[in-house]
Amino acid sequence: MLSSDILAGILTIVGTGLLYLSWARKSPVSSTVTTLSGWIFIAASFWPWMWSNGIEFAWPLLLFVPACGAWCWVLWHNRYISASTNISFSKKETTSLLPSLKRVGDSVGRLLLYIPFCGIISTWITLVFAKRLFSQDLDQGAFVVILTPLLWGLLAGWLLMSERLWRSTSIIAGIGAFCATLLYFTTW
Amino acid sequence: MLKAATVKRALAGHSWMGIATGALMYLICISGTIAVLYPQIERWEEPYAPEMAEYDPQAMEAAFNTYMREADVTPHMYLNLPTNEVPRAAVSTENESRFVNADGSLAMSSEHEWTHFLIDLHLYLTLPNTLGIILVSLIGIGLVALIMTGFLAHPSIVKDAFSWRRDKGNGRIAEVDLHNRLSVWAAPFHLVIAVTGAWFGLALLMILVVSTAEDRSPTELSAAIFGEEPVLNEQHESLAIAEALRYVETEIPEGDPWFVVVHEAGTPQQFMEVAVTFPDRLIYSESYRFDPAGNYLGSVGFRDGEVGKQAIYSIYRLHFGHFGGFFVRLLYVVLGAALTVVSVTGINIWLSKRKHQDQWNGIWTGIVWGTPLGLFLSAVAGLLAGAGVTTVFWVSVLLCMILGAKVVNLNRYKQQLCLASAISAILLLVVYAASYWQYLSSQAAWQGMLVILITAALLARAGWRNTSGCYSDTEVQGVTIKP
Repeated sequence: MLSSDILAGILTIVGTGLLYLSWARKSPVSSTVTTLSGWIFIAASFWPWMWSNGIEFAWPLLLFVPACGAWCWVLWHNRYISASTNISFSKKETTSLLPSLKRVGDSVGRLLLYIPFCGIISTWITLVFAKRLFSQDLDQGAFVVILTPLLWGLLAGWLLMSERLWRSTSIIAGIGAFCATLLYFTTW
Repeated sequence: MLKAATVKRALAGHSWMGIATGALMYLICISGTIAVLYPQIERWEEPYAPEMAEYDPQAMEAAFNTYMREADVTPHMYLNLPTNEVPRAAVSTENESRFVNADGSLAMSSEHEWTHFLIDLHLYLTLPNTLGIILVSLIGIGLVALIMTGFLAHPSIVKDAFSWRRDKGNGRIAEVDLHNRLSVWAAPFHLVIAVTGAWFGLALLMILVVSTAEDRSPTELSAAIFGEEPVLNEQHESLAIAEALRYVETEIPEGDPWFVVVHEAGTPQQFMEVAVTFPDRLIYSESYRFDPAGNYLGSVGFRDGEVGKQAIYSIYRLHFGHFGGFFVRLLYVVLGAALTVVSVTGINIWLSKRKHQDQWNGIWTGIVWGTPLGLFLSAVAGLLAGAGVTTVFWVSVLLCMILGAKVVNLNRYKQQLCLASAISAILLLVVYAASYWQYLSSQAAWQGMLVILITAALLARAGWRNTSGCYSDTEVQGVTIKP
């Protein structure tokens, strides 16, 4: 058990080390080969994780542990640079803590878009997919409750960085309306 | 290659969401990181509790039935069984709890105010439960959006994957690099935490939406997940818990009985559920149902039912890292701490990018460094008074914020708060040792004290170290800071 965990740890460190060689250092071998080998080593750690912990625990370990492996190399690579960033104000400015009404209005409007709007539409979209993919009610429900937060966040992220907010909002609203229509005709 | 305009917009969106969720995200992250260890903290908080490596089912049954006669019975009554992690037995109503001795007699009340507060802070931000859990879940959604925009705002993600430049001065470059490296490498963890965290509060809302869309009652949908409750009508004076536990031991030897919950307690409809964990499964538990006489009625199907049911019941362990032993706990603490640092450095970077410094810099310093102080002081209050934990925490943080808005030298203020936190940690140790001196040799007590001592040392070091930090406006010379 323990030896499997150690093997998985070694594979992860070697894998992230190869990525380090490829991305941060000039690898003596082709960069593509080194990068690919790095990912293969990391992926290979799945098996020892599985042997020692079972298949259900192997997935989260495969996804989470490389962060620790990579940080070994980040700490190895970290360096002091000579830039001086010492210019500072000796005194704080006193400004109003309250933002302008326009800013508050803008933020509230955005929040309404990101929260109820994206929330409802992401639920409709996942519900449509759930009905297509699964026959059991419970599986459909699980798909919706697990994937909706992800889609919700992605839609909110899209709107957050949208240059033409009205266009993006209209596209999302259009997809939502399409899904709602589909749901209406398949449910009733 | 991403266009510069896309990167710029992603960065703007990332900043907006970061500021919108900033302080709350930090509180959820720091409390969640500590809450990964809540079974250990709960044990530490009550070192006097009777512990047992093994238990006699008959003694547990006797304890539960005695408690049913003595306590104000609520619809759900619980019997927590000793496990390897928490070798303690306790009986509870929905409102109060008592420990059980190995011989089946009832011991003292179980009161772990601070652990309760910590969980309350993480799940509900100490707000009323429904409002709190929805708000926390929405911040989980915000985290998904932050991860997405963060990746798009980071054009040199591969090139900089291992770079952590430490600049002399106010450390803004180091802070940007730290923020990016921690967030990129730990992104799978952060995404899983965000989605599973969002699920807790939104499941209820979504069940409502789905049931409305499908013209079904929410109870019907909940029953599909948690199983139809058996309909019984039997009058029983006592519950044959030992019989049920023996059945589990014989028929499901690979599982570990964890707790027993009695539904509709004290009524003719009452029935028992024995929750059993399985060492190689991510599901929270499987529930085996018994009538009051201990006759097996069936299982709910979390272990071998529909995939959807298993997936939903695996979310809890995935979110809190309660699987795979202590190594996984440690991993969750490290990655949770990384998310906490990311949430702090994100706001720090935004503050240092502004062309001026104002009260918000001080208020943010107060929130960040006042929170550990508030946590330690609230733990002291819990030990001394057994109450007022939540109030002490919020008052401490609020005072630190107000003082932060007033003080001029924020770096010194940060150092003072670190030192104050270290002193309050030592104070906690002293009060704890004075309160429970006869139990200090117990594993739960000394392990907890050691962790607090190390934390105090780290805070003291941060307080003494002559750092300048990111609290002053800067211009970086000769270095291009990439987002």
